[in-house]
Amino acid sequence: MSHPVPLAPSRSGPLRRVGTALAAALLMALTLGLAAAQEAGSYRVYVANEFSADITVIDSATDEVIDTITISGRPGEVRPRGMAVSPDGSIIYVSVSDFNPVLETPEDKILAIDVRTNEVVTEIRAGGNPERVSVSPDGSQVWAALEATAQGAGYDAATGERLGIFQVGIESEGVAVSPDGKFVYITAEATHTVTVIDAEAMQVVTHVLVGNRPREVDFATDGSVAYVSAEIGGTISVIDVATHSVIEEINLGLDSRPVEMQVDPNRNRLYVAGGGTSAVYVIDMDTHEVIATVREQMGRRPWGIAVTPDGQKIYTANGLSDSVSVIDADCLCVIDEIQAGRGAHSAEIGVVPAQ
Amino acid sequence: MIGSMRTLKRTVVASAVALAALFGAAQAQYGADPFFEQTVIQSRGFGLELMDARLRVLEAYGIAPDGLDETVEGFEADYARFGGTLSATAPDVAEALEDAIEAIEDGFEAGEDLTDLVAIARGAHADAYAAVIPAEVRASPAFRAGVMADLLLAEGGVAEGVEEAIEEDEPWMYPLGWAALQRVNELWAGLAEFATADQESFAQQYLDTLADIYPAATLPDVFPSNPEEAESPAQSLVGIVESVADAALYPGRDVRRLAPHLTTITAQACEAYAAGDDAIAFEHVLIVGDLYDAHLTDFLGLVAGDVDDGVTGMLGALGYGGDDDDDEAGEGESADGDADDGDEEGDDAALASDPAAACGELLEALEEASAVLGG
Repeated sequence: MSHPVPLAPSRSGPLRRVGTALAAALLMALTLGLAAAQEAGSYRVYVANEFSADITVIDSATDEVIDTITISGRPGEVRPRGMAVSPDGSIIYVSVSDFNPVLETPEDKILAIDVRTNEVVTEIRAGGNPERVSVSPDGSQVWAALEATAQGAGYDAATGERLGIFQVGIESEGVAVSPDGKFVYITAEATHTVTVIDAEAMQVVTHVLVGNRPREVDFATDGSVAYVSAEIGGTISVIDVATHSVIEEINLGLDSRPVEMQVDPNRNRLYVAGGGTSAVYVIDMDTHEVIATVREQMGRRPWGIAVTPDGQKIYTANGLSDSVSVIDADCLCVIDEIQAGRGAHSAEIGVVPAQ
Repeated sequence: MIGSMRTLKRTVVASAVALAALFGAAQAQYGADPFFEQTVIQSRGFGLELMDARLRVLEAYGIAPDGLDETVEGFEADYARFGGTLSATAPDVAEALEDAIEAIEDGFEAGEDLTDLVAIARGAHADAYAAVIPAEVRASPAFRAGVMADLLLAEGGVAEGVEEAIEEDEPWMYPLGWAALQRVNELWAGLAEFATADQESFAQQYLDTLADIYPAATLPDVFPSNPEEAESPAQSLVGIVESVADAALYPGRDVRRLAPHLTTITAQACEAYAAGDDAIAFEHVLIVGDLYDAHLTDFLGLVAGDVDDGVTGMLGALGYGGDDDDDEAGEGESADGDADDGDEEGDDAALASDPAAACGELLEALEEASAVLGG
């Protein structure tokens, strides 16, 4: 039995160093996936690199790096972190801040990047060290978790006007808007909480205790539950949105260190980046069972994760190997590793409309 | 407004109680649980390790610059973590260590080369370590892993050293972080043989990153722009150490479990106060304060501020100084600055003169905190 050879990070060339039979199967799957992608337009993968202060842009059809967007000329002082995509896939929102949370600088902002041109089209001032962002289902609002000030804030996506700002838990990080637009959930690392904000009444509803050091929050597509990754807890807390209460803990193991998650409605799966084990956990969203764990040939410490809208490919941002692992969703195996910038942190998928 | 806040609090409490039943299985993943199974012993060990770190710094400098005054003053707080036990079990060693530290303090004041005095103190410190921490505990991977976790993540350790140097404008925390890292490297060398190749590779990458942040005991010309530069590799390293040592190293991982545990430790403190063993009682108060500060106060402050005020007020009354004035811990003074305003401040100060009674109040406050958390 031959051992898999680690994939060397490269800027091009998927399907290397895998068995012939597997390659053929993958080629078929990729061909089908590409056809679907071309019908709906093509996908671009955006990877926020925390330490090189730039965004790596990858064409998901070829898995080649097609652009690098400079976020700041002061890497090591200014950093991009969490990202979100507009409902139509045309805009990528990036949270940008300085490194020193006690300082509030002009660098604290949210950038909107046009997926077609890869140019920044809007800047939203978001003082307080925005760490992650989320977009409302109608695309009109952008919400941010402001880490340094323990606040969550909503902004008008078009004008940048701040619509509301709320005290949440300490070291706020993850943020998500419910699919019906009614609620905003914001995680906080130090208080181990999710704060629920009523986005219509613009008021805090409750603080929910979840697993230890919650990082990201994501809603199921039907909005019935929300998932919260707990890095130190090694769990995914499942929150019933009707009651805003935790109804289940999905145990990934204390060493898993889950961070970013991505819901894939195509396959009814929740993908979770496990930074501690350099693995991706695949969870069935009906049973909440871990149905697979992708480990072989993964990059080091996957932190961010994104899935193409057609559900064919999963991309992880690997902070310790400065790379992106490409996972085929059919075989749940790594098919490529792509060089990213330093400190790959988050991943998001934009859609270029069909011509 | 008050009504809605009460509703909010009730909702949170109900959620916490319901959630308590969902946790537990994950905790059983590791074979040892040193911060629960030997809470006070780990704290004594950490005090001894902090003292060792200060000695390493002074050893590295020889003639200590003025900025190291807080480093020297900190010996007293370290000693408070284990001094009561040392005096009870090995009074001669306690006296020798106290004398050695006092000589260093005097030498520092006089601007002398401290090399010889540090060497004497190191000998006394080694004897104290042997007297305070039983041999079988010292040798156990769980204890050593717990020490590593403290050195990496706790106040005075690796992650906090550079952060406090930058954020709190306390540059002299940096050499302590450097010293803690040297000790972490030594301890890892003893654990690495149990690691898989992958674990060893990852651990070495994290240690290398930390070594880049801490190349020497001396202050760098320019500090990193990111105060939390050491946080991520330190946290990741603790994760690996957990697996390698088969020991749970995050006592705050389940806050619902931690809260009642703190009442147990506090009850032991109260018994010691009642028996007149104030120094040993205070060893218990220090670790209760540390764990409460690190893992519970933020949550309780958010959802039940009055309960949090009650606990922090009584910890202050018993002399626990918290993170901000750790150097003063152990001096037995009331931490008025941490107490509530007005009458409550006066009450706390009055209680401090009767530590047994104050301890009883702390116990009640922690039981209330535990109830909020569903423990």
